[in-house]
Amino acid sequence: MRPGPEPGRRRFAGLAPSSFLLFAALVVLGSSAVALVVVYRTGERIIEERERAEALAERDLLEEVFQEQGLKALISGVARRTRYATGGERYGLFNGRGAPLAGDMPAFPSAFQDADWRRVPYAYPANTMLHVNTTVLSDGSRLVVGRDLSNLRQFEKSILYGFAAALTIVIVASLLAGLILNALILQRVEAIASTAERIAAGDLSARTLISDRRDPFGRVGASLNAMLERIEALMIGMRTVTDSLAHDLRSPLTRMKGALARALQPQAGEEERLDAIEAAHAEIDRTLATLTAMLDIARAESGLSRDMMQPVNVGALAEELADFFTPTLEDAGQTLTVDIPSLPVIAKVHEGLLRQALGNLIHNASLYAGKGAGVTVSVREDHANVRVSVADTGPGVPEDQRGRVQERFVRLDPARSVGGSGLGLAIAAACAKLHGGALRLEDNNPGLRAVIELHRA
Amino acid sequence: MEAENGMSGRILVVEDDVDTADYISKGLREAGYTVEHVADGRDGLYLASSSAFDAVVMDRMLPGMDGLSVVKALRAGGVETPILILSALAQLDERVTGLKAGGDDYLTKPFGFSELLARIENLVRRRSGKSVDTVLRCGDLVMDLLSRKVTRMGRALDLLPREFKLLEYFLRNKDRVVTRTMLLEQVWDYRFDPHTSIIDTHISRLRKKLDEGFEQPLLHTLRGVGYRLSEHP
Repeated sequence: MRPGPEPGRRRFAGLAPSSFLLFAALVVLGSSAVALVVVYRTGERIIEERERAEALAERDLLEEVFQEQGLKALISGVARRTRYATGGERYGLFNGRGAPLAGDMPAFPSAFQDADWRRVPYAYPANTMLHVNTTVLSDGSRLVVGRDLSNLRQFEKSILYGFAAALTIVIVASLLAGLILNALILQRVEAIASTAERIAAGDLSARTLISDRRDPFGRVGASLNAMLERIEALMIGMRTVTDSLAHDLRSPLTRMKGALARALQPQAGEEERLDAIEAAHAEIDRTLATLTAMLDIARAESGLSRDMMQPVNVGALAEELADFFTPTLEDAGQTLTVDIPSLPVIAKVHEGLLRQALGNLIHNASLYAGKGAGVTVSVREDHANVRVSVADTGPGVPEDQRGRVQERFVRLDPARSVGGSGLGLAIAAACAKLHGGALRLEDNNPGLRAVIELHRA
Repeated sequence: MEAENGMSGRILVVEDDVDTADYISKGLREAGYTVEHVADGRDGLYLASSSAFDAVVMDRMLPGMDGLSVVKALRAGGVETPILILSALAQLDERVTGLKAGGDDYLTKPFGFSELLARIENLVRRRSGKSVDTVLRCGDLVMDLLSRKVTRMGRALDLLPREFKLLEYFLRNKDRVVTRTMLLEQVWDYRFDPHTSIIDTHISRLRKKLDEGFEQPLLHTLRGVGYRLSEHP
């Protein structure tokens, strides 16, 4: 079977664009329908309103003709209007008994009585709906001005046709746009997915091609690549750690084995046996310490230790550590100076790790600065950083070697090796890194100055 | 030692690894303790809360209920039995987490039995009455905690503050084995690689002031284990 991604994930990835399309189509149709209704209602109301205003104006005009020129003039006026009616205009003039005098309305139904722009059914021609206004004139005759609004149907039809055309264009266009967008998205997602698959297959150096456009996909690609860089760096670091650890464990294990073999020899005396066992015991302690230190470094470098950070008086911590190491420095024939501000230097730090890191630096000075050297432990702060440094006046470290000594298990001069796990500076570097800073090794002119820079978070 | 002096105690060992449990139980019985052993976290919680023990040795990773949860549950239930947490997790953070959960001491695997025994005796003794004396003695050595003066055979010893602190710890643990890591953790609250031999340096300084010029040494080195302050060799 071809090893592939889980079917569940695939199915979801395949479904999502098309169901999105369906959803988008529904949204377009729904909003079009709503728009249609709104436009139609508004148009209808506007037309009705205009017709009403026109009809009432005509009524006023005809009424004026009657008042100024009498019934005869009105009859001929109504007749003329009826002749020239263009669309839905209807006119009727009836005498007091309801007999038609002029216009195209053969009868005066009771519904016309007192109508003030009312919608009423009319039988001439059959099944007509008229909007009418009936005005009773001073001589008792009735003037009816009406409109047959069936031409509104015409309006409805054209709106519908127009809308259908527009909707078709919209749907086709959005389908096209969706398909194109879908293809574009799939193409770029495929690119990212194929990178992920290459990674899954074991090729940690795979990277996605990033376009220069600052769109979400560019960002996904860029962050994916950044993530991969980090993973690869961690993997390489891890590999280096395990390789050097395996290498570094081999020698103490060999020494332990040798010591225990000595203890097992039948001719060995009691004292010799105890010596051998004690040597093996000490070797085990050293090895365990190395392992623990490695784990501390790994934890600090992974950032996992960050939740253990608390506000600590770094000045007091440095002073205490210096005091702790004083006998060791004195035994090494060195003099210690502590230079810390008189006010407390409070920073949020991982106390245990900082103690370990600073302790390592002081201890390194005692080991490598040599007899007669001066060792200065100092703490400095500004708004952004707290710097804890250990400076000595010993032989120092050549500039081109300063990067290398921070690596794990590196001891510069095997002849000068005074024991130690080779992890001291690596821990100090990891500590500085955990605090967002760096370990800097500088020239103390003469000697070495090691500075742990702690960034105030 | 208390066990040697006929004082015994009841220790509960909660540990799922059979070999480790046997190793601990056997050693503790030889040292004069009565030992109860359970392998499951829930059984440990039940026993520790229903019966009186002088100390509990609690493995951190247990079936049923993990060690830290048991410790938290015991402390929440008002059980104040001293607890020594055993763990294969050696990192700084883990130790702090263990002590924060309510453990009294934290020992990482692998450990030597002498280290474990020293710590258990330390815990049991701490419980059997924290000394409120203002004067600590060991033979002809006298420490006055109020005036912060130390004399031996009436002669004043000139100790630095750090030496005073170290000697006080020894006097409070008179006749008991004290390991290097116990000193690091409990006197200085540090955890360093033991190979730095700083403790040995501190001890030799203290010993020079304490024993030089006197016939009977008080501060003894125990091969591969640690130190003991005692008037008996």
